[in-house]
Amino acid sequence: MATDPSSLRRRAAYAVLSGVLDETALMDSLTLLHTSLRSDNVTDVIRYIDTVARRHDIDAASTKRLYPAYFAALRRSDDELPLDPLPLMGLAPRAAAPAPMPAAVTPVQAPAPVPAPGPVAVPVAVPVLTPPEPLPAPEPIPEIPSAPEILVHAALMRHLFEDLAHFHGDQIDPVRQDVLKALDKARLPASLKDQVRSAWTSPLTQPWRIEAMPGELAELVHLLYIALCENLGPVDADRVITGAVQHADRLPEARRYSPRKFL
Amino acid sequence: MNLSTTDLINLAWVGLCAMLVFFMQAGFALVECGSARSKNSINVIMKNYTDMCVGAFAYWLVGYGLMFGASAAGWLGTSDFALNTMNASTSMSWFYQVMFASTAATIVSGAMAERMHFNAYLVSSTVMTLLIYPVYGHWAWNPNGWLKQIGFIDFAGSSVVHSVGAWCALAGVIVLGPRLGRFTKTGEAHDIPGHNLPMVALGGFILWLGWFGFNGGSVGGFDKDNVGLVLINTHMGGVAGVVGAIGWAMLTRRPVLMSTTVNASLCGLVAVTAGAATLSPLTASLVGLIAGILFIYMAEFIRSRRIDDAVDAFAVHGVGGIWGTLAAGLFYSGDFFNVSRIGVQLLGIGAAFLWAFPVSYAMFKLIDKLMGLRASTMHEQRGLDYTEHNELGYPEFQNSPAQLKMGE
Repeated sequence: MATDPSSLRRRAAYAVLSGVLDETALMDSLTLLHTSLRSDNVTDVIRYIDTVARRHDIDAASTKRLYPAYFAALRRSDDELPLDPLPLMGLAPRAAAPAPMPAAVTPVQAPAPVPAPGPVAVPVAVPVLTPPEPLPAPEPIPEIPSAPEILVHAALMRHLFEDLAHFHGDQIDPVRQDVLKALDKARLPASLKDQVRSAWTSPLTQPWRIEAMPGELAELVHLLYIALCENLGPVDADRVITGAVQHADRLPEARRYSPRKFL
Repeated sequence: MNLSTTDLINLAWVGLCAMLVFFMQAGFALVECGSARSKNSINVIMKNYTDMCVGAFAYWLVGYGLMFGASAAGWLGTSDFALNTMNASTSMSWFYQVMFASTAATIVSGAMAERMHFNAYLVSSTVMTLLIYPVYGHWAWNPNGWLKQIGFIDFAGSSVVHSVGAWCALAGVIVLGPRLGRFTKTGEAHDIPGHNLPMVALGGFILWLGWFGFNGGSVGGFDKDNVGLVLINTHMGGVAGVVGAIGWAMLTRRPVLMSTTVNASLCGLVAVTAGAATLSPLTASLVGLIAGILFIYMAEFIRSRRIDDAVDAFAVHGVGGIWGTLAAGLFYSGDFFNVSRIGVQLLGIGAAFLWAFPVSYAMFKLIDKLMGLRASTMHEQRGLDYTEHNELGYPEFQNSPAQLKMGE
């Protein structure tokens, strides 16, 4: 489960609102959440959703459905929620690309004290797209945000390895050997090859955030596809890769970079 | 030119049979398409549809002349190129023969399915109908061809059509190499099941129907007394092929596969084609029965050699063609096991290999060098429907990398 409450709220809101709002309205609503919502108190959540509904003309029936949907989303497990949309909101600095793959979770700044939960003081009429300065530091930002193709590729790879572990656990090692062999011959930057080799040391637990250009990521997917064909056979390779792409396609980041481009 | 009623009936019969042979193209298309994965279905259909077109053009320009033109010492035809004026008999003969040429060419497409560039296939198909098929056809079917002159029997083309097509297919798959992931490092085959086996079965039925035209039309008319015998022998060949294959599969505890059943019937039909007019129903059945069993072993042997023949084209047309040509000599009605005739048949079988295999091997090598024969592994990943044609066979239902890529 996600442990960062504000990240969890953003992810829950993203999951629930992405079905009813367009991209601009969604970002506006997430910014509103980021700057105003400080608790999961029922009153605050209802007020937040009502504000979103007023600002973006959501009809009453849909608004009514959003209340329980939001609370249900808050209780979902970590892998059932989309990734944190904070990078998409333009409120946090983006990582310079290409950069070395972050080895682990990297806090970007010391966490500011979180205000105690309580009634939201900000009136809903305040224009939230231009929040008052200084912006209160809401929560620790858990990760350096990456470009969408990197996040999408990471999600694709993680799902692919879940699938492999579930159905073809004994084939992971032969696939690894084939991929690493092909990687040696591939015309890819040495730093990228190092990242991939590092990720393959424990593929099932890696975040698979490979810092690379989209074309290079597609090449990596292709190398993996060839290895899957050689070891699982082409039919299972198609099934595994298609399932992973379809999974990644459901991420919010897939709106900005479709995983289908890796095929 | 006034034609008698008998002549007109004979022409009508040959014309009808030619149309049945044309319909065999649909049968081949369905068998091959159903045996391929859905992401390559359009590519397979396109190859079948277009090889007939470029092949017919090449055959009209050069092929027919090489095959049936005035013979140069029994080796090549030297007249009748790009015929523009023909009498009733010649025009019907041309129409019938062009369908045969298309059949020979299309045998190759299934074997090389799912990994070959479309344009390279069209070139190879053109060369086949322009040169490879007509030259051997001249030897065996031209009245002055050297094989014909020494008594070679190939009634409707077990060797001329099927063996030649199969040798070309074998050369093609050797040059092309197996599909991505078809074989493991230890040589075991990964199954690549076709996407629509009922389509394969329907193709089998259509081919079987077409075969009545293939063999029946080769009689040359409807007033001959052996039309019925030829049709019966044709049917018994197909029937016995199935009985032989599924019987042997049961005896040897192999699974009785539908794809094997369809292919065994085709192998039986191929085998009986050479002697359809000179076998009896009993010997035709024996020929088909043995063909069905041989098919099983040859398909397994080809796989064991790590040769990826996507539809077992060589096992069907090659083995069926060789065995059928030999059997036409062995079981010649009223003159069984004539050593001299068997020798001639073996010579014809060897000549088909010595001509078609090396020439087509060189042709595929040359095409590979000049324009590239093999689609890239990225194209195999995406599927040739997307990469070669930008069209999908089943856009609403297909669940594959090709569909996802197309929907990008």
